[in-house]
Amino acid sequence: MEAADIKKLIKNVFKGLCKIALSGILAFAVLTAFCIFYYNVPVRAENKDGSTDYKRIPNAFYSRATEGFAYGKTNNEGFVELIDYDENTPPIDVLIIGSSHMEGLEVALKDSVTGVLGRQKTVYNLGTSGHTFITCCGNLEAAAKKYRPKYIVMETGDCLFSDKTLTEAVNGTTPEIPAQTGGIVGLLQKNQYLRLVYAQIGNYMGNSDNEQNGDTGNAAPAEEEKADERKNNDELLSALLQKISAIAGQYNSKLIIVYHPGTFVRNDGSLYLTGNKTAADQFGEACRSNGIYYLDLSDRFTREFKENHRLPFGFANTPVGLGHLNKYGHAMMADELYKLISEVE
Amino acid sequence: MSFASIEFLIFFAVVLGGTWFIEFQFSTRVKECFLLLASYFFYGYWDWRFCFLLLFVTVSSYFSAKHHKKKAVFVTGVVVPLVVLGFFKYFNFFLSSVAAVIGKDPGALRIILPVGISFYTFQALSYVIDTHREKIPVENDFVKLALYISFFPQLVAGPIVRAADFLPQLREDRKVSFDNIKWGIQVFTFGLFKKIVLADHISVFVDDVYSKPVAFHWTAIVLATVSYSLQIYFDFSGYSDMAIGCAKCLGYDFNKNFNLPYISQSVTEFWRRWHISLSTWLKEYLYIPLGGNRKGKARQYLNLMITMLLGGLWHGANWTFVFWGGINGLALCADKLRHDKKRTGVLRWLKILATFIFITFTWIFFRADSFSTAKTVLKGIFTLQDGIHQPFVWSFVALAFLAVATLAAEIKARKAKTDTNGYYPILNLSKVWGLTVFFIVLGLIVGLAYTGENPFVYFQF
Repeated sequence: MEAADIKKLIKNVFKGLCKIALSGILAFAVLTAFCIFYYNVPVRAENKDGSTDYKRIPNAFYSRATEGFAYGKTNNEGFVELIDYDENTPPIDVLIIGSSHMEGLEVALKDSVTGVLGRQKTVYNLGTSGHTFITCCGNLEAAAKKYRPKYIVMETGDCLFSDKTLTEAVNGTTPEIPAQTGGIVGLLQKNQYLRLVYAQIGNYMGNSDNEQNGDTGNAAPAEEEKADERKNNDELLSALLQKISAIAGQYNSKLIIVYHPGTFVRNDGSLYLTGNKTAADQFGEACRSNGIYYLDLSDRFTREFKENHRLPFGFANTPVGLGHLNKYGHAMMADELYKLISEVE
Repeated sequence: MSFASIEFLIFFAVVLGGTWFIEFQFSTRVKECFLLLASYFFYGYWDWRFCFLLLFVTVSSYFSAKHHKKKAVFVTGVVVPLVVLGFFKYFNFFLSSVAAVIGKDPGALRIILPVGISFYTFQALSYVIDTHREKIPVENDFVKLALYISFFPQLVAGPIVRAADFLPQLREDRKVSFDNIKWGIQVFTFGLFKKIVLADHISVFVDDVYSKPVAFHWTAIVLATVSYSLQIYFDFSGYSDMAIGCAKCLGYDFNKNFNLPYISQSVTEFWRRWHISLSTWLKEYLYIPLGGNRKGKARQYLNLMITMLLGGLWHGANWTFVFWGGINGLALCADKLRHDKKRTGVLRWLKILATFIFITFTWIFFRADSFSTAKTVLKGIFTLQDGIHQPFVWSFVALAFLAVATLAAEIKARKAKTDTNGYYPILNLSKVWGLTVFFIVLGLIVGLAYTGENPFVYFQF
């Protein structure tokens, strides 16, 4: 090879690399723009008041088309909520705390529990992805103290807890869910396409602990289990419920716990409610004996399926009956909550 | 090892790099041996024991072709692959079918169906028959023949490459080139998009509905059935594209396996456009030897029916596949009776729609795991069953994608004043815009891919 050839080769390689880099940048920009509308979940910011372990970035646009189709804007506090919270906010009738089901990134705000129940009451929604019942127990006092609602609704899809989890909840040592605004992870999370890729990799590796799959989404049972007869530790459960009941009482709030079992359509076309029925009944009994209102949505889900063939979970772009609460599920919950609150009042 | 897996991408990168390096440093013989070993590794990755079966079929074909003039040897060469196929794929099926007739249960053998057995046995058969017919010369080089039968891009799910098309390419000593890689990688990517973005997402809905058809509203069942038409097309044509793309990167050409089948105006035309390598194989090695259309009308219809019934059975050891083949055979006979001509304008679109509806109807028997499920599906549709509504979005996305690709192919064909011949959106990767679009497509594949487990539909065949 002569010097001129080598020079030409180097020039061509350099030109080629520049083209690849430029194309890569352009493509990345287009993909990011696409994800603003396809999968745009605001970053987890720190919540200093402790009403939740973290919250979203305030006033941030969000959209989600990976499970259902919804878009909106977080409120001034960083919650997926129709109203802002400030000194002009009227007294809150119902404060909702719970997981991604309650956060409702998958449904239009007007169709969520907050939206539907909000037509009758002043509702404020603190639902945040990953906040299981146990996590919410840890946040309850701060939430009740700050918002002073008439009713606090805590949502759970699971009623069976390990002794360790219950002990931590009673002692107030439940591990916190970290915010993700700092460090490299925080920086990467700001790009929605990278977030989508991260979620995809998580799904591919079989890791369901990410927001695309739904951290607490209703999943299909590997096989229809035999009736699960396991129960919670009576003493520990009672201690926890006593604790949260007392916290609610301290701020003159009435506590309502809503249990929603998962659903699965059997091959014969009937509806199968997943979850541990024994533990749910025991949980409900313990709630009532500790002055907590308990709402089990099992019957409502079953009735709605029989009469209207409607499932509370799942969307037009996901498997039937699985995943997060859809607009029907939110409406069912809102309706049952309204009935219960009306009865109490 | 599925094409749509990280393992395969690593494997392919190593094979491509290795082949390129060997071409520079070593002889063609080393390259052939390397590709042969890679192909056996690819096959053995699934279950190494079946490499011996593949080798057995190859050795049998090699020797029977060498001595094909002796009738007994030739017959052995044809019978061995058929026996292998019959035993592994159909033994339990026939046992259970006989048991159903005589009312006794003789039990079943635990036989694992080797992946791709239907494909490589057919390739072996085509080689033995073609040498006997003296259409192609006998291949004395065992490595070349073994590579033809086991070449990994087409090994497990086709296309069924005929010896007459592939062995000459091996003799030409084709090279890995930048131009081939640019073309091949785009076709592979196009296929990957069809498979893991479109087909796999649709399969979620189709599987839901076909596992519990009694639960769904009739509109959901209709949509699921139409969706299956799209799923199987995107799945299988996607796999074929990936195979064609891989082979092209290594310097080899496979014929197109699909040519926009859903714009067919008749079932006959559909079978000229769908799974072309199988249709051609069945025509050349079954229909024509049976007499084709040379022995009168009645015999022609009989030959068509035999071909399609066996073609159905080839797809799977289940009477639903035979039935599916049967109704397609009847439709082909009806086409022959009508002598209907190709239409233009509105009539053309009506004929396309009618053919699509018919083909979609036949897919019910292909997809259903039993006649009972097929019956439930049909009952659900025709009784306007009430149930769960599910306007599955990915089905509409796939339909839109198909419509746009078809339109693009039509425009291209009209400009060139030719018939449509498949469609690959090949970009100029030397330009920034071409590379940008290609990277966007790659990015979309990563972002939109269905991440659950979903094997290729045709792996089971």
